[in-house]
Amino acid sequence: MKRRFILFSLPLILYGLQGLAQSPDYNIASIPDNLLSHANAVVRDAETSIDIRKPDAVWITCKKVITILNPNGKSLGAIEVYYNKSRPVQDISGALYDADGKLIRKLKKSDFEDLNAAQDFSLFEDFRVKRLVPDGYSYPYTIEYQYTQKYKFTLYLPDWTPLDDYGESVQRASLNISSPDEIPMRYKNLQVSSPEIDSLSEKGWTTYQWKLTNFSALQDEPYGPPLFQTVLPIVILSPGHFEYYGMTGDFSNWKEYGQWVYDHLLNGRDKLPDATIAYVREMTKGMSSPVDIARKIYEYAQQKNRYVAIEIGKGGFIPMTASEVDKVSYGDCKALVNYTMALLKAVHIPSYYTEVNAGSDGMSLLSGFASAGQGNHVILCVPFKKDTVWLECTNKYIPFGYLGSFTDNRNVVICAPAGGVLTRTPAYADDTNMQERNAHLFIDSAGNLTGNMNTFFRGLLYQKRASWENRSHADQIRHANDTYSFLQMNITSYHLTFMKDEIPSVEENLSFTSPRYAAPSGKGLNIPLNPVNRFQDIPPLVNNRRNKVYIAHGFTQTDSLIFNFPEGYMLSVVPPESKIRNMFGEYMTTIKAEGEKLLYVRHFNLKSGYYPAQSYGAFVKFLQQAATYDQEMFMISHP
Amino acid sequence: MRTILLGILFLSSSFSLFAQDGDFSFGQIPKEDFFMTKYDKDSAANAVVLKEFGNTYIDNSQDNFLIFNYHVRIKVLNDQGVNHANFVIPIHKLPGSTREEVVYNVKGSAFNMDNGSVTETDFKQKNIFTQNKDRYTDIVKFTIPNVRSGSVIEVSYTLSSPFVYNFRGWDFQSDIPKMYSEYWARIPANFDYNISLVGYLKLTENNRSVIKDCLTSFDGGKADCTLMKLGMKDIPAFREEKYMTSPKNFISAVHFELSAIHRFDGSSRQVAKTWSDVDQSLAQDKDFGLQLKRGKSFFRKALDTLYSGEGDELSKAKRIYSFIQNHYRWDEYNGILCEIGIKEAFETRKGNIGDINLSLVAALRAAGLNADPVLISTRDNGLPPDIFPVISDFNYVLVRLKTAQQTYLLDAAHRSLPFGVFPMSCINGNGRVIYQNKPSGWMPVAAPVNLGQVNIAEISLDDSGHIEGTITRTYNGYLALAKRQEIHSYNSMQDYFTAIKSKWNDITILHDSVSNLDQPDTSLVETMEITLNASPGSSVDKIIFNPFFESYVTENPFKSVTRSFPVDFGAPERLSSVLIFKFPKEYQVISSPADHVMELPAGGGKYLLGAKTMGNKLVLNTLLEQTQPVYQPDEYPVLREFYNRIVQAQRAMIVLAKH
Repeated sequence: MKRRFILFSLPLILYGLQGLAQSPDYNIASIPDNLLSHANAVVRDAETSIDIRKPDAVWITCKKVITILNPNGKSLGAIEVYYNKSRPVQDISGALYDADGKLIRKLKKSDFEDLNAAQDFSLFEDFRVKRLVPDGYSYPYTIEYQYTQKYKFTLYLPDWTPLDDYGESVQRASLNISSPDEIPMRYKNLQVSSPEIDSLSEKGWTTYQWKLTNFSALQDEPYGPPLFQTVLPIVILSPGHFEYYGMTGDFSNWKEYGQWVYDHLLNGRDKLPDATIAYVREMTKGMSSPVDIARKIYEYAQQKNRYVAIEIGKGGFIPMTASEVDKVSYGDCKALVNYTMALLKAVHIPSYYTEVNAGSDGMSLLSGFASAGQGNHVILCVPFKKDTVWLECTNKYIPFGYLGSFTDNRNVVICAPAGGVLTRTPAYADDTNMQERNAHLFIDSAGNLTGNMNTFFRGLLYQKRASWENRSHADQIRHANDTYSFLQMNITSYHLTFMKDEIPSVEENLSFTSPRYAAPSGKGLNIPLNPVNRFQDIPPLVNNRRNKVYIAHGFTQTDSLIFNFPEGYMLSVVPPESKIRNMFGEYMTTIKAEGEKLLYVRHFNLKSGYYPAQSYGAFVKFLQQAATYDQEMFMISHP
Repeated sequence: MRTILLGILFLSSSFSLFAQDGDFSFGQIPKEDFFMTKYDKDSAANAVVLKEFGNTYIDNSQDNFLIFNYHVRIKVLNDQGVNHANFVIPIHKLPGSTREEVVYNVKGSAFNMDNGSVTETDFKQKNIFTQNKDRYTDIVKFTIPNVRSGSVIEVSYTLSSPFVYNFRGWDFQSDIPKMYSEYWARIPANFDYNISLVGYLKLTENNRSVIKDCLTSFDGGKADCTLMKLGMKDIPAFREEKYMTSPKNFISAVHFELSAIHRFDGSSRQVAKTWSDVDQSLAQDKDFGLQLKRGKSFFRKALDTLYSGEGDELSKAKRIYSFIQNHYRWDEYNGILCEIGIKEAFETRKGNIGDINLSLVAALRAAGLNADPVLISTRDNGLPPDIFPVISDFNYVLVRLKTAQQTYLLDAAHRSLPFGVFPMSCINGNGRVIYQNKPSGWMPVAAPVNLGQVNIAEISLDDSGHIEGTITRTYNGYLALAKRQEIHSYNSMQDYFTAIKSKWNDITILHDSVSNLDQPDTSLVETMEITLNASPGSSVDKIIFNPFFESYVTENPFKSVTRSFPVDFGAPERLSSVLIFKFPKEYQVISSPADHVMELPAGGGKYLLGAKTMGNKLVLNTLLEQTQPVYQPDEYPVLREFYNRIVQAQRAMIVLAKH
């Protein structure tokens, strides 16, 4: 094994082929039983070799043998290699075996699709993917493949993920790294035990090796913690000294990382035309509060620019200059953050380019481990004397200072001229996420309903209506019809009011008729109690749950509905009240009859946090109970 | 869809109501276009095309002789509309050749009015990106700078093509409304194109004139051209609706299909096929006709034992069908041709639709049965071409079997299909039968079975207020197929049962069993032992529950008040349910759902609900029947109201009290 690092002029690919040449046992009978439960596929043998020759020459060879057990595992056999000019694919080959391990056929180069990696509209350099989802004749079948890819940079290296998804077992997988002693490797193990070989130096080359063996498939567990970072075994790598498109650098912590980003990717890109500087200064003249000035600037940039995905410039890492954005009024997240930062600078408000991993999964940058590529999005940090304001710059409507579940409550890195700072974006506490509804509903003797309804959405629940703001009125009505589908409404008036405060809220007012809402039977009317907020997403039960129950965001919803009966009708079947309170939250209803009226209040609260894995059954039961009460009906009759 | 042969149309009518007569000048934007804040004819529009002009002609002095000019002016009405400043133009190329389409003369500007004066921001050529999509296609992309709500965008470009087959068609309709759209096609007499107009909208401009000597050959030969001017005014946005077939069938457009080339030397070449050409070339095709021929003798040998058995035509056919159905695994690719070939597919036991169903034809023919392939265009692929055969528009092949008694359409590619049934995705206009010894012909492809289901719930209440019993769901026709496919999507029955266990909150499943899962010719039966969770408001003295826990309709599927295109379910539907509820003598029914009888006009469907109490038993029946696979837009309001009433009727409880 060590020989290959000495003979480093020998392409690694030969070593890979040698590995393949050993007579393989791909018979499915040799898969241990424990790897079959919950599994759709089993990684039989996988080896990733990362051979760093120089900071601008890395050979990465991936070899994988995976058995696909059933149709649900088919996509786990997908071979996908992303490449561009700075990381070309050197070689790709493979073969397909049947259940007995007998060769069915070799995979030809022409079997692979060669596609552009972009999906939506974006302006960018060609980033492509070689892709093949091999298909056996009958299940199970085994795919063997290998490819070599050359990275002409070392700013980042691919993460090692011996398995990618639920339902995937691993019989044997390894990661081997070799690098010159001058390029020490930093790494972070997540759910992986320490390397078997840890920075073993010999004749100028340092080697590392990780192994994962006999790993049983994970079950898809609803309300589980984020799959990446907390569940899947992963090794993240970061070379201590790197090159990137002719730039060099090294960092071993977030401070140094942020410094490098600022110096190489941002510095000098914030120049604006004098006219623009004069314009924004004029625009904010006479304003004294820095927060108000920042808000004014932010709203100006929002109104002026639009988001277009752009991946040009050094592999998509460098933002368009502020002056270019000033001219064309569009940009991607990097460009729009950089532009807003430049505008703020023009009015003497410092602000900072900040990398974040966006998404509702809430993934943090790793606090003890800096590496490039952990983030996937950029926001702007504006510190003021009392408070820090965070700005999302890609959305024309998002309130000043609002992040939402896209980037809230996670570690991010500020890339400032004085270096990087790992910090945390604000969280929306459970009690800020509110929904409060009041409705007056009038039923006639034929069962038709007319009503008006007023609802406040606040905090993270602001997102329930946020994207409706830029829609036409006709479109808003169409969405409201779908949202309140149980009412089958004819909306007679509809209005949204957006309040973009520190914790934003939106008020919805609508009037409607809902013909044929209640069903007559005998002398009475059957009336569904809760037409507007029916909980229905009951997650499936899971046997032998392994992971904790995770509620990412808590909230409280209060619905107060007043039903007004037709004249002469009285309540004849009273719906039950719920008094459920447990560690997950509460689901309480109160029902009061007042003459020809019924007052119904529903109070539903979920608390964010982690709960023991064993409590999952109780959690499902709780949601089922909520769904049951939400389906209740009551009856009114006339004597 | 209606396809109109424009040639015919022209003879009878040539008119021009709102012609803008040709291209408009770039940047000459009337003031009122800036003041416009919404489009009166469509208040939901994010942007509107103010004017659009295109023009295609042949210039034989260039290698890329087919020239297409495009020019559009768009008003952005709100911030959602700014996406219409992003342009994507697919261009064709030939792998291994330098022949490819080229986009040039790209001009693009945003016009904004600020403080009463108009500023133009043009776009830089360096911001045009060409991106390789696949072997045959590149994509030219660009976006216009400085676009915001209120902007007027204007773009023009020229696209030249060396491919005489790619005479650009024209989509009059798009996802935003258009005030006016006009297309000119100048076609020299040397080229015959079949022209078809698709969609419901009518042309407001339809003119044909002849231009003398518009094309000159190298040796001085001259040809006249036909200039067609087609225009449409006030074109509504195309919005996809639920339960509709491919948008291709409905988007108003004109298509050009090359049919013949006449050279200046007097020779001509027929390009477009007649059906008899197609029949001939399919018969000779190594992946079609020749496969069938060879396949026949192959199966005669390979399936010797299958053929020697006793039985009439039908039982023989069923035996062969079942063999083929179970022998192959479909690789999830459609197609009318063999991808692997009959012999190799047989050995590898895998193939595309062509491999499997042409194997079925060959195997049936080998047994002396009357079997022929039927070319189909699936629902998502658009309707098959009805006048001129365009073989690439077909993407699926079925098998027509004719016995002395009956004709069947078969598909052996799916294990869950019964004999004589094919996927609903194949129900899309006519199919073309490619006979062995006579010219091909059309046949209707209609649903051979319904969407059918019968649910029977037998439940009893005991003295302690507990309700339990059994539910038997019998799935028929296309619903049996769908259910079988659903169950097969789980790794095991165990996984399926686990997944459905917590699916309903009003019933608790104690035990579930499924029978006939792998006998597609019979109904699929699912039997569950359940306890019914009565309303939490129930007590031993008063039992309250919703008896529609096995209902098919919980919400009206039709939310929209209006409908532009037919509602296409694919097949008629018949869903019935019976609830038999027994209760101890001490109880008495206080309330139960009211009876209903509703019918759609002209026998289009009905809904029945009947509840009857006999002694200590309550029987509740519902029946929902839709007899038509397709309902026209004018039937929509009634259909929507029909569902509204069903939903209402089923919002009712059963209430029992102790004496």
